Amino acid sequence: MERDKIDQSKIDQGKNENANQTDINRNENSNQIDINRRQFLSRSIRTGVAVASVGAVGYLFHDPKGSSTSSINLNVDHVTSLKSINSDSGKDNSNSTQSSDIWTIPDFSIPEQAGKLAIVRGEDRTKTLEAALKALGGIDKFIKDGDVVLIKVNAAFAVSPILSATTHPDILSKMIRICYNAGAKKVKVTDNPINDPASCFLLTGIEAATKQNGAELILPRDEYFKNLTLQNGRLIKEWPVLKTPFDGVTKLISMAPIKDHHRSGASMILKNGYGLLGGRRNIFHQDIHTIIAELARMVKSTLVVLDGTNTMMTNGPTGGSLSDLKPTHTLIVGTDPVAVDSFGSTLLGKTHQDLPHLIQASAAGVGTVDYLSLKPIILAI
Amino acid sequence: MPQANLKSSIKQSIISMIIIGLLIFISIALFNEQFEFNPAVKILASKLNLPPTTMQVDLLTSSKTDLPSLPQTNLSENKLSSGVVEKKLESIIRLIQPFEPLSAPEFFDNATLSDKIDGKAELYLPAGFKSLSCQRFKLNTIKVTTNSDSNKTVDLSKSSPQTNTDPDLWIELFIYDMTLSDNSFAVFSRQRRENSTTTSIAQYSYQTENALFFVHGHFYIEIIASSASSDAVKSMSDLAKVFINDHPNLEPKKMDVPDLFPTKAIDKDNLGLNLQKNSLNIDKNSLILDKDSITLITSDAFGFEKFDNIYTASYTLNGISATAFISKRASIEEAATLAQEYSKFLINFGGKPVELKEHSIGSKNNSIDSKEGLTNSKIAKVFYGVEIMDTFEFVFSSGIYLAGVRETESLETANSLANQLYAQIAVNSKDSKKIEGKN
Repeated sequence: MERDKIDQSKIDQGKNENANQTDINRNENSNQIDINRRQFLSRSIRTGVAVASVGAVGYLFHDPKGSSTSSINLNVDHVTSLKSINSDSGKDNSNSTQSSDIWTIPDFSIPEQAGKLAIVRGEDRTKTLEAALKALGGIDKFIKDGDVVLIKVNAAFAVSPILSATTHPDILSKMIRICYNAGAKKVKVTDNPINDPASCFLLTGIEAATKQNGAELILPRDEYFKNLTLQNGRLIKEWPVLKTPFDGVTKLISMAPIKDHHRSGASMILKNGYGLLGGRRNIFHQDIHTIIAELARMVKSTLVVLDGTNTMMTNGPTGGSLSDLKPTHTLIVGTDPVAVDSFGSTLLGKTHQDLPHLIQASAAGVGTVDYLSLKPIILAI
Repeated sequence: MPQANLKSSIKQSIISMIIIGLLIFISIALFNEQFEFNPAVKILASKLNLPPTTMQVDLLTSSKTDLPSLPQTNLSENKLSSGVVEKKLESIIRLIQPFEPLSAPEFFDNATLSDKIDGKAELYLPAGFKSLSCQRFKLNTIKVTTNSDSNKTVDLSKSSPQTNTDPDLWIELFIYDMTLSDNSFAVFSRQRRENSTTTSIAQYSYQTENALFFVHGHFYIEIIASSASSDAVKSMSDLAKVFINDHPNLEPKKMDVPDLFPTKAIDKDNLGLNLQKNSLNIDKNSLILDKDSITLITSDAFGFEKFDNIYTASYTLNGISATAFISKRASIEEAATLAQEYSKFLINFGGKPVELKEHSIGSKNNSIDSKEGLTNSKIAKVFYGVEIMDTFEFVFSSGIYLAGVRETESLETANSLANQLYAQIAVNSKDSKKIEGKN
């Protein structure tokens, strides 16, 4: 019986082998892969990990900015018209990964110093600056002990200071020293130039003027921008604006040269606010006067300095030739940027009537185009 | 069964390995590509006829004509004393001593031009702008050791025509590709500076204290120095010559239309035109053309969107200033239609039709609805005079030419200059048959 059992088991084994062989044959013929659930899951997981790894490596290589000559704020969705901006509530889905928490640029104006205006004629901009501040009662009317001062310069282009396309380093140096002498704890200098920032600050002499006088130069970086919405603004809606340089600041001084501008007619103090915008801000050229007027509402400076020592009369805003300049030898310092620009326009051979953004800004309550009504102090040195 | 699984899994494994291998290959290729020079630069380099590789300067051993015999710099990588290899910047122009790049080249197209020149881009974009290449260069003094006295260094720059006394001097070169020579002339003429000096470096060129501007075929070039000095002027000139020599066979712009601006008063007796003598009778020396003022406006001339490709020129007639304009149109009808539409445009902006003097061109038919200017000739198709904003504007068509006078406070001046302009077109136009009414 045992032999029978053994024989039977052998027979059964043989049957099984045959059955398996049959299965094998069947599987080979049908090309089916016969794996169990564990093997399937194992392979699936390994495949998934491999795919995910490749995807992760690809993501690391991803350059959202793409090839471009401009290094700042170019990883934005390309907006082709103001209409599309307005229809999307002005959203600029740009590099700003900041939350859209509401923030505003603080109002740095001093109510007691409202409506002050000094116009000084002279060839030396450092001396005219001294005279203008003295005429306004002295710098201590504006800068106090312990103040942190931010100077917003115009460093738009990487050009030589002799072209008067940017804030002149001499007057910047002077202003920094004056601020420190008045007790400022810290002075910062910033702008978001149109050209490469490092080149702009270097070649304009602004970097040297800043550092040699102990101020801090803040170059714009992507993470320094945060979306801002101007109340009742039509254009500045959820738009990246330079924020970080304002951290801890108690006083703001805006310094700009007087320039012709191909689009807006003039580039002076109000236009200087353009240097706080990020993103593809050139889209605003389509409505240049409105954007300048909104910038005027967005930025409330403690003091503004408009340099008309050498005025760029033509071919602005870049100029390029010394023959574009006229030695108007005038410096305008005040607290009403509209009035300051209004007078500045006369040095360009224009009036505020030729510059709609001045009229819009005045209508918005930023200041007055009637600079004479402020009874400016006019000096010559 | 295990045997069957092994076969299948080997097949699977092979396929998997192939796929993974492909992915790794792609990753490596991407990794390498990230560190390659921007391919767009190579494309632009080829368009500028520069070496198609990585824009390494390909120095020529022989100088072109008119270039000073300056020693050339080997711009291969320099090994510093520390053993660190300093990589030189590429250049958008062939470099000669003592130039070397101060910054990397920059390239801009229609979408990015404003990133460089901001609002001024609007001067270029509608005028056929294609691309801008620009770069800054500095100038250096070269010192070498002589063979005769190894302890003595010789300032090579002193032996060459080029000296650099301003160590801070740098120059920026702007190369605007405007597609056509008409366009390059247009942007050149629209930005011409007053008190500039015409130079001989190109057919259309001028310089100021610190800048040089010129047209070379379809290129408009600006060279701007960081200071005003003789070194700057010499450097800009040398750089310009390099560019011109390296871009030969670019035809100078042929301007036939500006030849129609009269340079001296025309006596009507020489024309055989049946006009009253006084209409052309002005002192020959009283008509003065400012040749440097000749400008081409490619679009929206005078605020009228239909006015494109209009040449203008500034005149002084008996001491009174005026601006003349001429444009060559595609047909007689187009010229006539545009003249009529422009006069209506002025009327719509508050202009008033002007009563023309008897026997002046078009005097018998100065209504804006009239299409016939002269009763005795079909030369001037239409002629309109408008007074607007205390100035006078005349516009007329003569054959395929649209022409006129504007920005003058004197009706007499406008009338006289318009007559002179009409006469000059009649004399010089190559399409005289059309002008004579033999359409």
